[in-house]
Amino acid sequence: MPHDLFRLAYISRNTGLSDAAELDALLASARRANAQADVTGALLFNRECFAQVLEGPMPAVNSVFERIQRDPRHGDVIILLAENSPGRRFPDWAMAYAGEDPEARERFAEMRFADLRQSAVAGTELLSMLEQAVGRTLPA
Amino acid sequence: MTDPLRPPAAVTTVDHLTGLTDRRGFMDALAAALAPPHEAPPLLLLDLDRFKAVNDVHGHPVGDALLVTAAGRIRSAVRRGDVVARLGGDEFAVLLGAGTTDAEAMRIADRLVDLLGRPFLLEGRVVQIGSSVGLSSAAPGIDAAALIKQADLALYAAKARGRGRAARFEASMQDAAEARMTLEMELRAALPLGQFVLHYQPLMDLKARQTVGFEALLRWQHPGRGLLAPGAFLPVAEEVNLMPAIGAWVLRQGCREAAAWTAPLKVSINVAPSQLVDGTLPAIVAAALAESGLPGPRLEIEVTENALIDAGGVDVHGQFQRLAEMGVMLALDDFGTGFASLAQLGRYPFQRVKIDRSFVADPRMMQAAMGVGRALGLKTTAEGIEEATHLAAVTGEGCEIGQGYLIGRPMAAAAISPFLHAEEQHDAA
Ligand SMILES: Cc1cc2nc3c(=O)[nH]c(=O)nc-3n(C[C@H](O)[C@H](O)[C@H](O)COP(=O)(O)O)c2cc1C
Repeated sequence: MPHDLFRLAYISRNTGLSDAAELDALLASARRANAQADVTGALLFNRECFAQVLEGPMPAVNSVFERIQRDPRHGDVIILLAENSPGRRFPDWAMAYAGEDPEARERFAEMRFADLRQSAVAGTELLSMLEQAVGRTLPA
Repeated sequence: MTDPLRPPAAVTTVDHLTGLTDRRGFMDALAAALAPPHEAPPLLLLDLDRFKAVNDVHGHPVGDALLVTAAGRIRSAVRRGDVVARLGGDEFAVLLGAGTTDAEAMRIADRLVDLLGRPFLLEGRVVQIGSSVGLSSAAPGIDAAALIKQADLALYAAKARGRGRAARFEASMQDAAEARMTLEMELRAALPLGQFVLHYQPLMDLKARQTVGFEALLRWQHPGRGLLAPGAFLPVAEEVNLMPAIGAWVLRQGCREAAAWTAPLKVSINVAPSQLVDGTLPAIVAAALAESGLPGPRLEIEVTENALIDAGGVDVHGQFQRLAEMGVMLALDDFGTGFASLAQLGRYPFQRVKIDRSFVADPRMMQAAMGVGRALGLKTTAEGIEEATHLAAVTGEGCEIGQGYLIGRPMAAAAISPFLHAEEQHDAA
């Protein structure tokens, strides 16, 4: 029964999000939609790229991801992880912003999309980085 | 059973799977859009690249989910008033609204290529495809058939340019398509009209410095354009599936001519991947040998690494085994340039590798290729020997046989006797 959860992690190139206000708006609408779909996860962003984890029932993750895929504000999506999972890593977050954590924000701010792609940063690595960052930030 | 109380179902113009307009609805919409006094709107034709592979690998339910999701992405990229249709299989059309400029149409086409090139998550599986898009380029007074043809030619060009892109119709595409069609027609006639000939390039034993065989090379004596090399026509021959017939002729002709040589030398004949797909190669070779009286060991069949890969699902190994049983030699051509793994090579009964010409001028690559050949217990032929330094290098590496302009250019069948005679005289002197 706990096996019907699905988790996806990807990185993508930021092609349209430039400031905090836009990020806030995106997060607000993402949280609303995700809560409704029983999807949780975390997002990180800098000038060049996004990294995101989505988890929930597979059909819900499929459809949320498909909507995100059509978003013109990013491109060059690379899926790092797509797996079934016994539990959630971000149970308390409809969509955590891992950038609230200064350390994660700083680490991620340094990352360039080309480097991320080159180093083929492993999905599990990205996952634990987001998890650490979110762990230091208490649920709103 | 029809229920007499229910009216007949309305004629539907909706594609059941995707909910898009179907072909019939699209043709109606196109006719309406072109009715005077309207100007022809831009039309996009779109094919999914690698869709068939998704169906084959992941099964039809995933293939169907892909079509539905792809349809959603296409719809998300167009505006109200644009008509999105599924014409069948993985073919889609977008009829853009009246007044759409060419620049807007191109932007939408590029956006479609971008969107469909993004990964799909289907029932937990990540699937990556791509798409090619052809755009019409409106001309005043153009009719539906001509508009579709334009977009179709542009789509063909987009695919020819490597897929995963959009192309707009240009008049030159019409010319290219016509030239290609003419070529196809002439090519279909070439075999019955006896316009193919074989030329032969000498293969020299590098130790004995003696000709030990010839590689048969296909030429087309084209009625208007002279003698054509394979590059000018084999891609089209492959596309229209003439290769198996041409290949069978090459085998028959090569064996017949080799049987008539004054010395019992070997003939090497190339076999294309498409000649392996129906499993008839051993029978064709057996017939060629029987007809000509050429002993099996005098025939060497050359295949490229692609033949081992392209023939997915076909029993290549069994066919090679049967050829080996006839005493026919098997050589791997263009060795080192394909994608076959060493493990794969070891599985097939090859006796020889032909080291690709691109390695002959590079001592390190040459050594590496020779090393692999030797480790697998294979004899080696070096191709592309054009300079004395190449010859010295491959001889120094212990390569058995050499081939290239320095050793001998391809020649007509009739030139072989004088060539061998001259060699004899030279050796005797
Ligand atoms: C990097 C990135 C991550 C996003 N994450 C989510 C998300 O987790 N959930 C969500 O509903 N929308 C997310 N969005 C926004 C969607 O792409 C889309 O804009 C939003 O769901 C509104 O879609 P709609 O216009 O089809 O209603 C994200 C967008 C981007 C660029």
